Amino acid sequence: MPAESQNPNDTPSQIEPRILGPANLNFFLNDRLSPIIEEFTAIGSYPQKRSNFIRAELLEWFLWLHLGVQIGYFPLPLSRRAVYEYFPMILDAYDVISETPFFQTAYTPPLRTIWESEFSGRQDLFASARVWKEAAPSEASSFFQTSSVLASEFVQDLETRPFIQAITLSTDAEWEQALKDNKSLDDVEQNESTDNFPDNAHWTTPGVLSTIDYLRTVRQFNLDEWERISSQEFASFRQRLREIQQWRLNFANLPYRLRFQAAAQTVVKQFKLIEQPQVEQFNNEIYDLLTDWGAPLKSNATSA
Amino acid sequence: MKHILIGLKQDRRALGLLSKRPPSTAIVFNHGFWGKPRSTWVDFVNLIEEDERWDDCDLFFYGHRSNKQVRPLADKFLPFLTELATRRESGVISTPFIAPSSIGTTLFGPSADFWNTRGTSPYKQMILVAHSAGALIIREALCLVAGLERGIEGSKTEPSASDAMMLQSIVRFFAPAHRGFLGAGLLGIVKGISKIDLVTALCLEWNPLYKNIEKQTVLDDLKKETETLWEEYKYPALKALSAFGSEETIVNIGKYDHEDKEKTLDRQTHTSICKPRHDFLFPVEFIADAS
Repeated sequence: MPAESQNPNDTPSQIEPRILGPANLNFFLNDRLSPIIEEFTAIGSYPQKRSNFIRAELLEWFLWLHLGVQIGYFPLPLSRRAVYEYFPMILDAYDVISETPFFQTAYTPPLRTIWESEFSGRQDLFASARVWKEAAPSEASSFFQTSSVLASEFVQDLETRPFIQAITLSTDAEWEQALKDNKSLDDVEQNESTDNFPDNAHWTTPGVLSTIDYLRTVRQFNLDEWERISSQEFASFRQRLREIQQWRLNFANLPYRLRFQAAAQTVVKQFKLIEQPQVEQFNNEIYDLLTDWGAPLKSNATSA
Repeated sequence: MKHILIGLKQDRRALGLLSKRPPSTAIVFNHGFWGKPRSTWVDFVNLIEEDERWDDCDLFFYGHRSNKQVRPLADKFLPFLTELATRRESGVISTPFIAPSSIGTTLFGPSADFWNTRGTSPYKQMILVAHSAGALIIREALCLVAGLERGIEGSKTEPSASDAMMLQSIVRFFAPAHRGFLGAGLLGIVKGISKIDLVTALCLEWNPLYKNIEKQTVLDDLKKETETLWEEYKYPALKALSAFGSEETIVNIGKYDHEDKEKTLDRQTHTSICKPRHDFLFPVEFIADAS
């Protein structure tokens, strides 16, 4: 399926950038943007929470693209073109989400600065917030690629999405009611029926388990890479990758963290076989994972 | 990077890695219970780039959702394999992203140079790789193909080219569930397991596919069928090589009677055995050595 014609005089070094960058972008657009765009077109018919969740996903998509361009993983001109194609949607998402209280707690100041600066129209797109002053090392692209494909798998999991929407966007009263009544919120995406869990399993079960699985996978992957690469720029890069996803994994935020821990408790209590000491070990193992995403170390947790 | 990422039509989470060189080998990865096509096999995507033995291989990380029986999962898996064996990647990959302003042209796809360099020759071989219950799906699919060759009333027929390629596949399993689950069911593994894994394992008891497999009949039937077909035809794909972690707590370690002794790896668990790292390259080697 050719995208452009071949020039017989091209050398391999001229061909190479034309292959990888557009291919990376093509995969990313299909993998991450297409599902959001499909949902975005239905926003008018969705309840507010679900609509805002999709808007937040589109803003997150922009940040992945932004970082990918900065490290040379995505080609700049084609990436700009992709953004221009969807700029009205992206600006709409920004306008709505930036007016919600959620905006202040879910996003770090550096991320808010990127949007403000990129959407201001006062500079070329993708000119702000570079991690490396010079070209990024090739390891950054590898790290970015794996992080991106894992994150995409997690966020598109049909059994996980209702849980993440509820824990992210509900009010305290709504969340407590949903947990107590074993009934997901009405105005979030509804779980498609699967054969994985019986009907009487608590509705948070697949979301909690899938989130834990993601946290563990990312930890293992990070440990493996981090042992090899330890520059300051790489640390900032990893930090940015975490912050980009943190609006849905906001364990630095105490109310969010307590919600997740309460849901995890609900899941584990379904098994009479598990005794209290094991429940405590389960809690400790989970808390340890949350520290990768901003939860304070246990000794500081009570004061957080 | 020597491969490009590509989506697969069969499942949004599924993933392909296409070589920039003319590919000679298709390697298909099949995950297990509750597994996912990307996280089960992290970080093959990066680590194969550091090993030239993978340069002319295409990788396909197949995805499936849980079902009540192995057979329907195998029925879905088989057309995917057949497509690869027949038409290489062309029938299984997603179409390029189409932007609203450029319908009819593919602004974002890999360039013509990429496709031209790869050529159109069929794969020379396939390697089938699975984790946990994914092994049962591969076993079942291969029995279906091999069984077809028996023809009517036992008269052997020559396999089609695509069937022949599948039956000549090299098969590698990580912690396969082909010998069932640990003795006392999941209640027997409460000790000596991380408590997160314990909760996950207990949830497994809810899974209809697990419940189905737990009844040893399904596994016994599959073993008998595979061994009978092996005895009759000696198709290489019916003889798998398996690897387990020494800390395996979910499935029984074992093989079929006609297969070579399984490998066991120190300090690896049911989930870690299939995930390569820079300090644990066994999963990459286990497959690369096969070709």
